[in-house]
Amino acid sequence: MTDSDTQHVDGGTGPLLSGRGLSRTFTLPRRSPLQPGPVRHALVEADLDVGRGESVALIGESGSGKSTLVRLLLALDRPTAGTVTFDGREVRPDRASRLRWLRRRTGVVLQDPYSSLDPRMRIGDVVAEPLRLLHVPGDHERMVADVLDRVGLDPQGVDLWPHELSGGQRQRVALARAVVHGPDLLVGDEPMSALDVTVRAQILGLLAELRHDLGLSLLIVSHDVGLVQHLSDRVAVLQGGRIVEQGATADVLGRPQHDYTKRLIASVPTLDGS
Amino acid sequence: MSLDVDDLTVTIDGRRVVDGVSLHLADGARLGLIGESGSGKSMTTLAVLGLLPPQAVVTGSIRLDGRELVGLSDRQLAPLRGAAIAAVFQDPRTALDPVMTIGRQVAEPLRLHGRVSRADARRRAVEALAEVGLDESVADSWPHQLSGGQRQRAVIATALIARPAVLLADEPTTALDVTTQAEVLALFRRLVDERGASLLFVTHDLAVLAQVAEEAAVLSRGRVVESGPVARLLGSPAHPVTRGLVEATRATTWRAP
Repeated sequence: MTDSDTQHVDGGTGPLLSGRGLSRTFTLPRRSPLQPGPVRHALVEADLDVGRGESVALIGESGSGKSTLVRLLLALDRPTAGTVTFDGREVRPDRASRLRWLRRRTGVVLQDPYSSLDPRMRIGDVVAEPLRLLHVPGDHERMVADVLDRVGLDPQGVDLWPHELSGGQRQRVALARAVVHGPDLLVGDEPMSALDVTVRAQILGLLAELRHDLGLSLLIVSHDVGLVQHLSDRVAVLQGGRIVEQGATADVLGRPQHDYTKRLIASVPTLDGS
Repeated sequence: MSLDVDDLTVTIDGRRVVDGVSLHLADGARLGLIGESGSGKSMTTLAVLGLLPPQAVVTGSIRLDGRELVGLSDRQLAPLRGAAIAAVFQDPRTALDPVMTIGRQVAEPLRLHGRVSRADARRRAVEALAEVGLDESVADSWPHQLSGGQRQRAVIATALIARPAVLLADEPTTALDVTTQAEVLALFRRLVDERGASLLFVTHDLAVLAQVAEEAAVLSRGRVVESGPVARLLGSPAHPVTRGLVEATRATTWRAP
């Protein structure tokens, strides 16, 4: 184990995760041999903080830059400009071994529980894999059983295959895998959009519970305003690669200022049919 | 046209996936079919279209303006599909043929159902695209050049071009952004109202249901557990399944502050 593997003790005072002036441009294929390819600005000078224990949501339509921003914040991609720090320490894409400290302190859960679990791995192995890959010390079997219990699954289910589980159970497995190594930050990319409504309500409750019990910070990417309203303290709205609005969830969603946010709120179907 | 489903059962490999479902879609009405995954709502839609897998055993009755559809062969159903009755499914990425221009796909039901000249087909495809808010240039585009919302509009244009009297929509907005979803839902309402078509709208989302349907049936484990006006189902649900759906929806969907 190298020095950079050592788990940090939470003692910092600044935000847990901080992005400053983040931009990412992509050069598209040339259309003419005489001119350089056009440049697409996927993200333009974005500033975003996630405080300790805070829950922050990124909303915006497809192509607005949400996923690009998350990739930069997790060092999965290199910004064209700007910096990212996690607990005061600079984050940038690097060899896996040099990013292990960051991976240990973050967990990720993706949208689709049908494609995010390897169909050839038993549930116990799916959940234990981060412990192995991140060289986490301790009794892995015990840790897997504990986390399965915590997400409401039977710890005896470690020998099951993903196809033997319902969509809701799979998303619980995905959550267990995302938090098994005790991260400080949980990142969810549309974590509920593939689920039935009663399962959504359960997973929403579970996310809130995990956040509370484990003291997690959350960064949720979603275009689901309902999820954001029920789960986030703060929200940043992206459009065309820019953060066009950010603030306390009740303020931004309750009194939207930007045209896009207004249109988004007006589009959300509600039970009263308005 | 009206659509009447009576005591429909569908059994696949010994498993009863639809179990005695009855529905009445009146001429020009908008009926919702709501339920979670595995409740049998998609199987019901597929039964109406005669598109169930070959090993499915169907009993009961499905009548389109009084004409019995159960027991008809593929050959007998083919003239109805796309013409009297058309369907829009969930995923606009897989509903379109990637190697055919949008204009040709939209016009395909016309070419399958009657002799139309190439120029006529093109003209009507452009009209159908205009009706769903897409401009003429889209007719010459390929599916990969369109956004998700544009693709779903193109799929709807394809469903509408032969002026079907009954439109089946199975989760048609689930794969769309919320702003696009609102536009597509408004489009369905307008088309039904202006055309006098009948709409059977299948969804798992009560908030979406409230935007499009007047009446609805709640499905659970292949059975209709409750049905009635949407406002009544949402306001005072009687069956535990409906109550569960309403409560879960209230806990997860947007509520104006």
